[in-house]
Amino acid sequence: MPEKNAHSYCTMIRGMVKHGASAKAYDMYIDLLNERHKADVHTFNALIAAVPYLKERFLERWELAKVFLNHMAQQKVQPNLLTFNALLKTLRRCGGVGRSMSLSVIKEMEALDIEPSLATYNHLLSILYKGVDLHSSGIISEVIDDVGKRSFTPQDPDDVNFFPTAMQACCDLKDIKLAYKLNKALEKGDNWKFLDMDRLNTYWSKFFSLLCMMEQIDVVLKWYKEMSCSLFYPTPKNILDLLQALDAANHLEVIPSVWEDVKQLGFNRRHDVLEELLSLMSRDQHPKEIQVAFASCAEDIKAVHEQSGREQFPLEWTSSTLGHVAVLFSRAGRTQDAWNMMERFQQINRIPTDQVMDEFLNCAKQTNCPDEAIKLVKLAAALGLPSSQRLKSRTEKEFELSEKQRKTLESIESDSDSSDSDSDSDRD
Amino acid sequence: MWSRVRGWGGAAGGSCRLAARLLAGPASGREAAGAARQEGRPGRLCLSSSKIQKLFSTSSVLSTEKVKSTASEDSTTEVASKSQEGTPETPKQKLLDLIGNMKVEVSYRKKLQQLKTREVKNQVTDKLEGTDGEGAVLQRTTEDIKRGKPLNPELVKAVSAVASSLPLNKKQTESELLAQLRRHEETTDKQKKAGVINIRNVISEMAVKRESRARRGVRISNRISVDFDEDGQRIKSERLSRQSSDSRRSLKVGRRLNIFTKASTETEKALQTVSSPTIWDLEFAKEVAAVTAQPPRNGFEEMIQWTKEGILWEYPIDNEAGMEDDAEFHEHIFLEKHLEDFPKQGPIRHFMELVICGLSKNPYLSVKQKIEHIEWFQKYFEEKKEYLQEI
Repeated sequence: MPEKNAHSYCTMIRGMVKHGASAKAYDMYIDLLNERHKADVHTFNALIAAVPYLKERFLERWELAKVFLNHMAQQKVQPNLLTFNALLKTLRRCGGVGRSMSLSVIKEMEALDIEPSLATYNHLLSILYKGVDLHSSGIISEVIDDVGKRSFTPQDPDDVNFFPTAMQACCDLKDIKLAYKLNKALEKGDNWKFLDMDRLNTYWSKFFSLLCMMEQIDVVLKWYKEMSCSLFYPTPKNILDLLQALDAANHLEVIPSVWEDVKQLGFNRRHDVLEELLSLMSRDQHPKEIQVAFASCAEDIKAVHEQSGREQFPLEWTSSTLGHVAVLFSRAGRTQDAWNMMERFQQINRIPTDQVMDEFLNCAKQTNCPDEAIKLVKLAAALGLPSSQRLKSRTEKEFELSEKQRKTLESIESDSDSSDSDSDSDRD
Repeated sequence: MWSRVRGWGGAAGGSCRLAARLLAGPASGREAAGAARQEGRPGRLCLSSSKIQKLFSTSSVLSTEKVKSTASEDSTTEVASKSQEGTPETPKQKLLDLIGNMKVEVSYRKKLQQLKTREVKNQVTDKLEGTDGEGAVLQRTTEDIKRGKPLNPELVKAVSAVASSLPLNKKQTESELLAQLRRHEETTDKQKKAGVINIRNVISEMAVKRESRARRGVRISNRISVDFDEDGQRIKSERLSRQSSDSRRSLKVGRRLNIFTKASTETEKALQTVSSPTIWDLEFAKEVAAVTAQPPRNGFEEMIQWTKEGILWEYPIDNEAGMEDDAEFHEHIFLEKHLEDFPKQGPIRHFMELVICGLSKNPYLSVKQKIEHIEWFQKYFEEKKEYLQEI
């Protein structure tokens, strides 16, 4: 520094804090005091912002911040909005001390006629509503009311984080009415400008999750149709929440349209989404048209797992997905497709569950394909399943078999007799 | 860990360290080196008792000799220093001095090892009476080795080596040394237990002053939730008290900090000194402006932005847009009247007429600027008049 006057000291301190040299900035401030200079409000703001890097313990941080504030008062430097924002930001990293002091800081701002900005509210909500123990929603509803009353101008770079923080707090409190109020506040004046593309997506995504949790299914579907792909892009979590909501409301027939959206969004290769979809579809028996629709979804899913012409490598089948797809095909009466699925079980070294086998047998019965039934029994015997016996007896009873088929069936039995000792013991 | 710190600082503790002290002498520099050397060895010795058995039983003479040789070379310096000092210190005195000078700079793992070895040694020293000769001591220690406590013989041998190297009564010194060690072990254990109990009391009471130890422990154990749990149990009590007053909490209710007073309007105006914005202010202003600079939401906003930038004309088109001059068109175009001061003929006139031609076609300059142009030429030619006359 060529000449050591107040201005140069202040500039140095501000620069040091901006670039992370907090300890040096503090030393420089001590030098400034020793030379009986006065710092300006921006320097104090920088120093208060640097407090978390100067001390470790919460109480010490708060004490140091108070020291700076007292110096400000002594040097007759008036605090501005940014002072209080920096103070609240420091209090965010002061744990319990921060929680008890934050409201006093807000009151101080009020007493000095300083209008809080969105950053102020952001810090306040972060202090009070982040973490394990949540407060009652009194303060947050007041905050949202205040925000909704006027249109804000940007005064602090931290203003942008207000809306995502507030929406996160609403989700944690599971309060949908607060979320509606927050949306209204977003519509006031220029407030929409505070959300850029990424934050917009996270904001609406969280809102949608909250909706799925708390609202009726028709409201959810209405919002979904309005918002999806126009206001925000649903995340996989949103899709899973939506499926859960549909399940809770017993509205599973909407699933084929959800699958279309999933394909459009590009989640059709995600294991979690596929699992959830398939298990929901195959859990219960549904009326005919829905089953047919489900079967076409299953076909799409099957296509994902197959070798596709493009560079994408095919997904691996798991036993549950394979089983579900087989069940869906069976229920829709597509015996050949179902049989294709059954054959794949051996390829992936997995065993189909009993439910799958029974469904397939039902399907074969309905479509009157005794050959398929016999093939199934052969497969069961080859895999050495304990249920092969039961399936064999079922086939004998329920199907009208020709002589040749009956003989084949018998021969399967003899095969399993000779190979398995277990089946002998079962029979005994 | 705290108890170990206590015990270590308080009493004599580690056997191997003591041996190092005995052998290395009171100089602190050698202490460190000796400590490093000796500490390595116990670790290795702890490996297998069978190995040590072999070491001691088969090559016991060798090892004692080795130890003795190191002892002797160390003790010679010891003797030398002793002679320098002039006062014949008893081994006990030396021991006490050394113990007093010991520092607490052992790493955690070594401490753990030492704790283990100390516990082991403790059990063994109780059995040792220490009045027998060296051979008997050795034998007993080999028996102890068979039980799996390897460090003790090292110490005992060291003790015997010291005793033998010193000119005093060998057996007496030996017994005294071992007794002292035993006593140190006892005090270590006592204080260790006492230390543990103290800390348990502290934690159970959890007074404000003693928080640091518990807090550090909590911090080490769960770094992730440091912000929440750092105050440990204090947060829980605070939470309970706060939940009761939750319902009354509001932005309107509450006390203020009372640090600042509101400045009156005159002082406010006085304080608003006009200083040129520093570089930090400019950067901050840019940051803040960038916060709400969202891309246009629709075509209309895009057109607004372009109009502001000047890419788009302002509609409805205004013919007189950009017409700041009050000058009429003829003042722009007919500039001959400014050429009155120039000569009527000659190359200069020709040149100036071309200049006027160009200026009249120039829509970007104002009239004033054009006149200034011409005047500049006039001045220029005036200056060069002398040279031109020569031509």
